[in-house]
Amino acid sequence: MNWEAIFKEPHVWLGASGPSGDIVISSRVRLARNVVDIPFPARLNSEGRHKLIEQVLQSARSAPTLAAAQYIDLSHAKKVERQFLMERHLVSAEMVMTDDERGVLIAPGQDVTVMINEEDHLRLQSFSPGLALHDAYTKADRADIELGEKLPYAFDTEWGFCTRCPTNAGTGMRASCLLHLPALVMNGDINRVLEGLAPMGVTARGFYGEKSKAIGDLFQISNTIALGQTENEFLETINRVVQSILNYERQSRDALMDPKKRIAAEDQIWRSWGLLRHARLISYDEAMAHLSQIRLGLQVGLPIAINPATLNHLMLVTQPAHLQLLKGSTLKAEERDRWRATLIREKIEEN
Amino acid sequence: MICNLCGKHNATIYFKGIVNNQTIKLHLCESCAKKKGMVFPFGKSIFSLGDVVANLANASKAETALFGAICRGCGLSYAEFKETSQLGCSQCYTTFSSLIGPLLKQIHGSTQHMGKTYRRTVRMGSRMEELARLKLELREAVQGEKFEKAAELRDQIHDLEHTMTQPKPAGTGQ
Repeated sequence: MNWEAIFKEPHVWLGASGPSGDIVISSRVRLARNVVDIPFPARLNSEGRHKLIEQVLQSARSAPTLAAAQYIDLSHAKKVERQFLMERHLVSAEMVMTDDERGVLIAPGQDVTVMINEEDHLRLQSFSPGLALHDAYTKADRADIELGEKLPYAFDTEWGFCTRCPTNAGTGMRASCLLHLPALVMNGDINRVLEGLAPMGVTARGFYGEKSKAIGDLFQISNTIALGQTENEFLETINRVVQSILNYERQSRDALMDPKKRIAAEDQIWRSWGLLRHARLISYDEAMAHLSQIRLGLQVGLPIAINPATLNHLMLVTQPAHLQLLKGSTLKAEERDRWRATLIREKIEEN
Repeated sequence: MICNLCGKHNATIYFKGIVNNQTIKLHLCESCAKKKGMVFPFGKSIFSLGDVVANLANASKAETALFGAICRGCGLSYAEFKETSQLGCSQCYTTFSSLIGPLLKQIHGSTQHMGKTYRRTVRMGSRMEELARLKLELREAVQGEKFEKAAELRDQIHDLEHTMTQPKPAGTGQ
């Protein structure tokens, strides 16, 4: 895999800041689609999966959005390379585990990808920086229309797009926003806020999606239902929910930085800064926890000597697979921790 | 004879009973029979017909009609679907349609897709697409108050769905 090219290109989810970029890192839309009359990937043999990939690639060549996309054959990629793609959110966690016939198309800019032979035949994904769900949807929709002209999708007028899991049936859409909520974590209100989401058909997941934990105070807010409303209505619901979480986070930040009490929060942020500058061994979770504090510090105006671009870069490259590809070898956990601490110190020095 | 539930193993047990006024005939393999609460006379326990009937009686009518159904599109059996709640292919939506409606209602609170529609006219021929086309025409007919046409379409849909839910003859599993 030519991962260097992907590595060098800045990724939208930690790139330029979009609307409400102080809190909302990125918006993502995923559409699940299947080709009619072909069993879903789990019930296809290796030959069938291979044929499906060929069919999709051929259709993608004449789709303007995907014509210049790079195709990565995951069955021939090393595990660390697959994990690298997952860390960039270009493929799902499920696609890292096995080396079955699977692949991903990555459009230039890395803001549109198509996973082939994931749970469904196709999983189209698009990303936009900041709170921009409609913008992300427009991109996914365009790729979907283009591919749908070539590939006969399985669609039922009553039940919508047919998917392997009935939870995705209907629009086949899952839209999410990646939120950075350090103040709500710090004051302990986060659980109360997130618990209130369920009745709205919205849920919070960890950094890497379903079943993953929250790392670096990052949470993904996404829809849990996909049928019975239009795509726009689902997007609007998430948008409203995210807006209200934004307000809670902003209020919490103001309260933390209240002139009478701010010393406690400042102390915590500056301690993180000291730790990142001097640690010799640091795990990924620990690094993310402190980088999160620095991100908060910058946003509340503390004079920390790091520019936001470096901070974003560190949040990306300190992930285990990124680190190992940078170093050019597989590293044991302790070696990774040492190399991660070194990398952080170097980047801060360069800054 | 292949097991009606898993569609994989050889059936060694034949069960016949009356549930919800319907006669149920099942050819089962040993492991499916155990899962359904049947215990063997020469094993440690005694064959417990009561449990079996209780088990079957819990199933709704829609479900009992599907016992032994196997999707023609991918070979997914009713038991596999019940166990995982995952479908094997788009045709499963028709094969197990009487169960999928309630399931979708339970998950999404609705069974009517309101989002983006998809109509591809290039290749019509598969039963799935045929069915989608007929349903669309039916809706248009009802909206246009063409009830005679609607009744005709309804029958066509019914026939088509019926051909898609017939259990596969044994031994042709894919």
